[in-house]
Amino acid sequence: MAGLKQALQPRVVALRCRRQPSSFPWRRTAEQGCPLFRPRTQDPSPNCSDLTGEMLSRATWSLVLRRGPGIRGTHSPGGAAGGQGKMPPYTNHCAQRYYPMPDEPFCTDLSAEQRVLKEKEKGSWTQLSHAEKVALYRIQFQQTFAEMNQSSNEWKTVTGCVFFFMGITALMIWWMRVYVFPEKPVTLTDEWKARQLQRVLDMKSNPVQGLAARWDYARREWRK
Amino acid sequence: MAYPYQLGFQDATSPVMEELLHFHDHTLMIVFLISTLVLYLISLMLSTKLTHTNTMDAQEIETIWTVLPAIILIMIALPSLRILYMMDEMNNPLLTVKTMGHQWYWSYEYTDYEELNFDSYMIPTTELKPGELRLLEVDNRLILPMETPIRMLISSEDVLHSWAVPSLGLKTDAIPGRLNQTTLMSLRPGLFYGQCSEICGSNHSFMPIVLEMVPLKSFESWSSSML
Repeated sequence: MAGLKQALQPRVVALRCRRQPSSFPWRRTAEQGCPLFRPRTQDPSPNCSDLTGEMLSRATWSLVLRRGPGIRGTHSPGGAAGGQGKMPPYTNHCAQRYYPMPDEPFCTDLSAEQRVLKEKEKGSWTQLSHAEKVALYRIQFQQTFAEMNQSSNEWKTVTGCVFFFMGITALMIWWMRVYVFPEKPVTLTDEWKARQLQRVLDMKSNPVQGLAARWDYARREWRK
Repeated sequence: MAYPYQLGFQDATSPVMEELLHFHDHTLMIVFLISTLVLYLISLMLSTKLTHTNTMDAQEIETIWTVLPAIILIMIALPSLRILYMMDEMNNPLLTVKTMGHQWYWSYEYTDYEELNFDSYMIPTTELKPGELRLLEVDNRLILPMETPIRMLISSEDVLHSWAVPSLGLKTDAIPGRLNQTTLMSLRPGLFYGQCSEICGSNHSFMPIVLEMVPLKSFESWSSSML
């Protein structure tokens, strides 16, 4: 069991089954997962004459949207090494953290050995070796729980960008203080503020809970 | 007037403003409670490892979070309406003062017995005496007797203005062609400041209102000296 668990630890998910390869290179990878790129079938044939209209609209979209994994893809576990041939996860065959047991298996196009293994799975499971169990798991699911729940380093990029823009803003404000802002009015000098405070206390403004309430008129000092 | 680093309202000078302060405390407490609860729930939702998202049926909590807000709203509405009606109560004012808003000054008229009227312009910053408040002082203050109910009739000669004195809980729009009434009673003597509260042009920020509440005797001697 421990061995099985170790085998299912997060790592780069290599392509395990025959899926759509680079027949349609304009398709986005699984990490991008754009729902607009819904495939008509799970395994569209290389003969795609019937998909011309759809292809045109998608070709337009591909001009607008950036290719490649992008920032999110760079940071995601399989992103930098993710293959171009993965199907976009729009149907329920792809597991999500909130939908961990999808309806359809990940690989539907099985090779000969995989079909043999599926037949063997119909028998007693104690007969299966460790490697066979892992292979069966990989046929059924795209990622393990550990891989699916893996956190990314995206927060570091986001925090860095936030601080960077804060710094730029600070520089801009500093420049404005030096070159743009006018002189402060005379009422903000310490002397004026002192006389103002004296006047405010003399007229006993806000004597209930405000400023004059905190001044002790008998001892002529602030209340402690 | 307001003091530096002030967080809440200015201290109340009239009974209605006291009521408003208490009402504000009551309502703000409810608001803080609700906000704390919501923030707590959000933080719980962001830090959970649970992934179930398909709950279909939850009658009990649905009932609670329908009925409870209704009760909270009633608890806010009842004091609010009480104060609203209190502000409209008959109070038999002893004096009537008219104030007209202009661009960009206020003018006051005491016409109950004799004709007394004057304009009230802001004192520019360059002409302030040391210790005076910038953008708040005026040349002629509105001098009124304290502890007497006073009727204020507010209107405008040109564009919309608004006559506001926060420590008395007053804010009434000055609308050209219309006469708005509000009642004023101060329980303390002193100076009370306010500012125009309806955008009225370039000097909208520079037409303040200053009330000087004085004992009745002082008011009488002042008004006879002005005539």
